[in-house]
Amino acid sequence: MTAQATEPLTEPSSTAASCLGGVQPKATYAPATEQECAEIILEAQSAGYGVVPVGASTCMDMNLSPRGSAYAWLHTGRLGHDVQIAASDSLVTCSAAAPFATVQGLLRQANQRIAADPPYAAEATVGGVVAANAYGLLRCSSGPVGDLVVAMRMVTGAGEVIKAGARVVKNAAGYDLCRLVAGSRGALGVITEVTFRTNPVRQKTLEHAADVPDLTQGLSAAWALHEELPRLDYVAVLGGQDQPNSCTILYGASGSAQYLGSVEIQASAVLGRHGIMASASDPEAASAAEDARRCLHGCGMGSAIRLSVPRASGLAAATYVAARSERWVWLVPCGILAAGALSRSDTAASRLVEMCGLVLERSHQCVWLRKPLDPGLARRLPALSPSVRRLIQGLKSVFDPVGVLSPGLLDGAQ
Amino acid sequence: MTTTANVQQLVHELKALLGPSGVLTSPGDLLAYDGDAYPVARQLPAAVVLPETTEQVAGIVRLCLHHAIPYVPRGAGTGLSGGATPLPNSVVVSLARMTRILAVDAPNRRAVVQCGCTNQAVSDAARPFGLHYAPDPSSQAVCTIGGNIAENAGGPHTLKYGVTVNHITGAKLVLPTGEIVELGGVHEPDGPLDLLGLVTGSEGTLGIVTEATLRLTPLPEAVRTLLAVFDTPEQCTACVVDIISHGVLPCALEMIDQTILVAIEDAFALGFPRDAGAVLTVEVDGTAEEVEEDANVVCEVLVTHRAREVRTAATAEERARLWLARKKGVGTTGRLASSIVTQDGAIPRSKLPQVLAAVAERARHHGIRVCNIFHAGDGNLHPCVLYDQADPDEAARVHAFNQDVLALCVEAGGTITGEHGVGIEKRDAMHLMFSKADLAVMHRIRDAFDPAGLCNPGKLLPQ
Repeated sequence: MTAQATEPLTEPSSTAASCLGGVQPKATYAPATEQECAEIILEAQSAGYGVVPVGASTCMDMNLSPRGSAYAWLHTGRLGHDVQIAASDSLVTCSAAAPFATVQGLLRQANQRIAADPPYAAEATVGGVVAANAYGLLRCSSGPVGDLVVAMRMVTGAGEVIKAGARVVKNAAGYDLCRLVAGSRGALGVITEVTFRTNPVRQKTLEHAADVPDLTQGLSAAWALHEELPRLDYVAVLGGQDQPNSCTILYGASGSAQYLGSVEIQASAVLGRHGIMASASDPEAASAAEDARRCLHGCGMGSAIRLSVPRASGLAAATYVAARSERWVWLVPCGILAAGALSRSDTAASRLVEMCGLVLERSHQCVWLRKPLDPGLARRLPALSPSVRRLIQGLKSVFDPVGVLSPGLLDGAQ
Repeated sequence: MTTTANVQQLVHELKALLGPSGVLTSPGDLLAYDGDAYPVARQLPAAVVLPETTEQVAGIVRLCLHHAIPYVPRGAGTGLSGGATPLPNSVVVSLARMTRILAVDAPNRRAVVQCGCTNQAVSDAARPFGLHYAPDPSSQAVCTIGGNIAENAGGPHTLKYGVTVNHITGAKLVLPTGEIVELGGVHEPDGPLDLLGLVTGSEGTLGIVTEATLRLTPLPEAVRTLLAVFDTPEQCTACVVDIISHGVLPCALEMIDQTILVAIEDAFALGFPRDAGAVLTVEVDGTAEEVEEDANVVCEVLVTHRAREVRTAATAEERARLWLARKKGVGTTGRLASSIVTQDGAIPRSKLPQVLAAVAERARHHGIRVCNIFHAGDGNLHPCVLYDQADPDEAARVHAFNQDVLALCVEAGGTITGEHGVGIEKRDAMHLMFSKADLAVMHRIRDAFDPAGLCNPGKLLPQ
């Protein structure tokens, strides 16, 4: 089945430019082919400015530092919107510019879906979602976006057109470049086409939200849901400083109507034991879930932090964040805590990092910060080991020897 | 340049590092390490080392680097593509003594293990907590976690649960420079580049993983196994495609053809009709409600495709009996020929009928016998070639047939390996899938990790 994703693309917004310190791009290019894409990159190389690939600019949290303030947007919008669905092979191949929600809509007609729920799905492009690893709440059950990508085509910073992976659900040939490029935010190449593994969706879905007036009560109840209903698609807690002592528990499930019925009964019982009596389904739950997805990526927030929290630190860290962040979310099963617009941001973020120091010592890559970032805080964060930093720089050179793509993104990689 | 003198000096220093019992050099001892389960390539190494800690592995790597001696990481030697085959004058780094399960962290659903520990041991340790380690290669009783990571191993249940890379969240890695780095941890990396994802499946060419943090999966509430007998392989493969098209994602969809079925009957007398064209094992799991519903849909599809017999198992014992044919199938091929090579390629599932027919045609063309036992749900073919390695003419025809199979898989939009890896066996077939530019990027990645080119050289990439 071949279809055309016809929804219009959103132009790169002014907020995207603000992520680059308000510096306006030198130019905006919109190549229509991989060859044109390569020519633009090579031209930028010789002219000495950087190239920042942009999809729908819904996730521009890039910490970029364009060389000498000179850079160009490389807008992927004209690279095509083709969507080829191979339902019986559990695969869908999409041009990079196809809006993610449009692809999901076409897949639904074939009783399939990509098991990912990025924020701003209506606008976000497939290439952008993969480049930013823009996962949502389904990360709890389906992993990061890179887990779902089986093949891709891209143009490297050297202007080479390469492919990675294969259009099959299982492949062990060569290095897994798909995983490396997923989440690299355009620093290794411009993604032009992606093939995802899909899942059948014969089943129904359930999405609930429960407002909880007491934070401690809400966090405990969320843990209990995770423990007692281990097959939920996600359990998350969403909060904000407007009501610092309250929160919203979000949970979702998919399966047969009979199964979902039993989930509702069990979840109500768990929540009831914690003094939480009611939960709302669509559309309130859907709205809160989208809020949570955006919070995971710091969308619309001046500063943001995301880190991985082990069970032992989870409740303490979430409680700490709740008192200091304008918006925060905690993905309970996978331990991801994200907080935006922290009050006294640097001090609060620093304390948070210290609280979760154990996991950061083991796993430095689990911390993610978005500018503006005080240099004092940057120094207090655990740095990547010199060996890992060297590897990252080496891999950057493999794909982008002159450092033309998303310049600065990997320079101080933490 | 490797010389006898610097190999001797290296062995001397390795003995100082590991003690005499940690270094094997006698020809008798080395013979057990002259290759893996890929029968074609055999080579004695200069020495085998048996470290017990990550620091010892790092010390070994630094010594090899100092003396410019290549080294080859090794798990249990069950690999099927020659990934653990030594080079002349190389050192085999066996993780056979690094078998400890360091922690089972049930609340976070993680296990931390040394990489010489077996796949089965992880699941055994997790089971009391209602958890298991999902990747289940058929050699799981003996294959190691380190080998699984190197090959990104799969197994029958990866159709639903994914392969090794979906179940590893952290690793301690000894780089080819001798440095020790930690990637990920309790949670998978969320950082700028997914180095853990890159290292998984890199066939030991980017370093040696010595410890891993593994994701544990809750044991399913309910499981139902079905076994269907078909008159023809075509009916069976069409049924595979249709089951998925009906919105069911079984945790396993395994197919066996008539040749192996008859061998299984000869060995185990399970009561299968000898004239059956193929047998399909289908397993669904989940909640009791899901399993009931999925099993009903599967049964309907099986009947639609004229399965002449459907056996169903609900209890663990009945399941084990239905799985017996699949689990013992590969072993029974030993009754059919003196030499067997199991090929491995993956194709889009919908191409199964035509590619299987083409494989049979190529076998007839080359005058060789082939049987099939494979992961049909993944489109992961495993044609087993039955031959006599001592017959050079037949061996040459087998080689030509294998190349044809790989080409068929690529022409069908697939890959030259679904799960066995490239190793030595398929490094020269990589060009079937990848352009010069694609391969150049992979070569440069390898150089970025291993500038001296000593870490399992000659594997995975064409020379």
